[in-house]
Amino acid sequence: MESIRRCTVRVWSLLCSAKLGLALIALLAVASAYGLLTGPWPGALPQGLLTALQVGLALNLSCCLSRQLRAATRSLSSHPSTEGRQPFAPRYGLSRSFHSLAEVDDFLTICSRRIGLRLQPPRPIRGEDLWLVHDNPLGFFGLPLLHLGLLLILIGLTLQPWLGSTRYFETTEGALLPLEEAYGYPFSLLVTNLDVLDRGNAAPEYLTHAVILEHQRPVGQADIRVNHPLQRDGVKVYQATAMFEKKLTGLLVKEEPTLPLVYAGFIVTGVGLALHYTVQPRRAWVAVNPSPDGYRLHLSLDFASPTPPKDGTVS
Amino acid sequence: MTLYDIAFMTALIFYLAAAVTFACSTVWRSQHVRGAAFVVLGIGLGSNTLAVLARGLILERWPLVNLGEFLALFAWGLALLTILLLRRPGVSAAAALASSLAAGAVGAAVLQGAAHTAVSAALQSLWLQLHVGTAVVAYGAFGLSFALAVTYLVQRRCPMRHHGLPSLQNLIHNTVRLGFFFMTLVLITGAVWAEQAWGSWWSWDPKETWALITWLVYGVYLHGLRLPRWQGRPAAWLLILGFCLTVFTLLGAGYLFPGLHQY
Repeated sequence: MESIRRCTVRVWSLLCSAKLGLALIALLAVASAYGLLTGPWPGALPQGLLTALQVGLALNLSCCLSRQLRAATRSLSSHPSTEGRQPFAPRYGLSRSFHSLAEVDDFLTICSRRIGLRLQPPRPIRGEDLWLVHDNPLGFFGLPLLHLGLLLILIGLTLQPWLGSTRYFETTEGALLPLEEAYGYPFSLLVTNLDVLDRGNAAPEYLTHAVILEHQRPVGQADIRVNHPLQRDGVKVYQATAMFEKKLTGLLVKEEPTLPLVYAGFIVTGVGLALHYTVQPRRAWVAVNPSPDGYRLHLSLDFASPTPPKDGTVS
Repeated sequence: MTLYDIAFMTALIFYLAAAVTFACSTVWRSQHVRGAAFVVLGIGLGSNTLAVLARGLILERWPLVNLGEFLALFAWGLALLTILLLRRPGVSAAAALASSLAAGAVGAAVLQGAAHTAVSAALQSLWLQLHVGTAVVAYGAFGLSFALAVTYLVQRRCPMRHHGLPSLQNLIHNTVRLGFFFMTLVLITGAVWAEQAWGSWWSWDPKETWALITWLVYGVYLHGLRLPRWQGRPAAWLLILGFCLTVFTLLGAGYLFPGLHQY
């Protein structure tokens, strides 16, 4: 049992490690470059290898995310475990003896003013206390959100080939595109007209006018052009190519159920990155213990500036 | 010669002059020369702004469409970030290198010519402004981090200047963070736009793949900062690699690999 437990801990540590993440990112970068050099993507690169890298990275991101969330929630708790260790890598440490608890309280008041972070405990000091204080709590969730966003994007990218479908059609004016009957989409399209928009200095823009049919009955009209696809019942129809002289239009019909996941990932990534960069949380870990000459105060900060008064022992 | 050409040539001359003046201030360690270099760089930036605006007004569109226009904006972003971020003393060498890069970008833009490019339908989107706007800041910050990384490597070899290394590292770190944030936005805005225009938010198109590789390299740099062995020299070399990839994404990927980004 002990060996299984040790093995599980080792595997978990490996999956959470930044080193594995770096190695997978580097491999993905090298694979991308190699895939491009050997022809149109993915070139000579086996699709299975790419998927394996994506799944590995998703697993690593999930483990990192769970570890970061645990660290963030631990940081928010004002009553950390009594193990006697601070839940962060300290950048400043102070250890000092006092004769009475009133002196400890006075010193903490001076420190609080100096560093701009209230260090006093949530309840009166009793002589054997341990507490954690912080400011800007939102900042703790910047990195977890960033990783969650990337994970959502990666899941969307990996699942898309299995869950989605893409079909390309070329059709002419007056022709029916039997998407509903032949391919099981929720509607069909009757292409009524192919138009060209003259935009002065810009290149001409092609426009496909179509009637939307459901069960062979018209239910609406659509103008499809580049940057303005038709979107209906989870299906998108894009203007792909056009040969105006031949009255021929190319339409891309796409079902992508993972798209909301990917867009959610974009938003969460952006918010996470913005939070991580703009909101800098600060943490302080304070412990007071009885000592032969009164009380001993241990103070750890996860920031190096500003620091408390220097009349203490900096460790 | 149009107003556009005159403004562009002025920007090129002043960027080169700024590079020389910053180099002189590094050698002589003179605050007055450094101040004069910032004034010269500011005039170059003003001319660059005028050139970009003139092109936009002449063509009656946002000048963000082709490589030459983007290079002009890249130089603009790099010069602006140099003025904003390298004001503290001790980084004049980095400012000299950044000004040279800006001059090189303007020179390349001049070589590209002022030919009018018909804007394709895919480019007629609000996402163009967002995508290219964020790319200007990202590439500018990466250019600046390259200049700072080179300065860091040079200063490491000079024991008399070791005292300034921690603050230089801090400046490099903040510049990369800025670039990484905007590069993330470049990828996101590009993906959303590609989904609307091409029907696929990610196509493994050469340019987007190389942009992803660039982003990954800077991601590796930011992760590596947590490991003590990666700090210092390896991190600086990684930034140099990152900027080489940035330049390749900008210039090489479009020419060497056929793809959707043929602008």
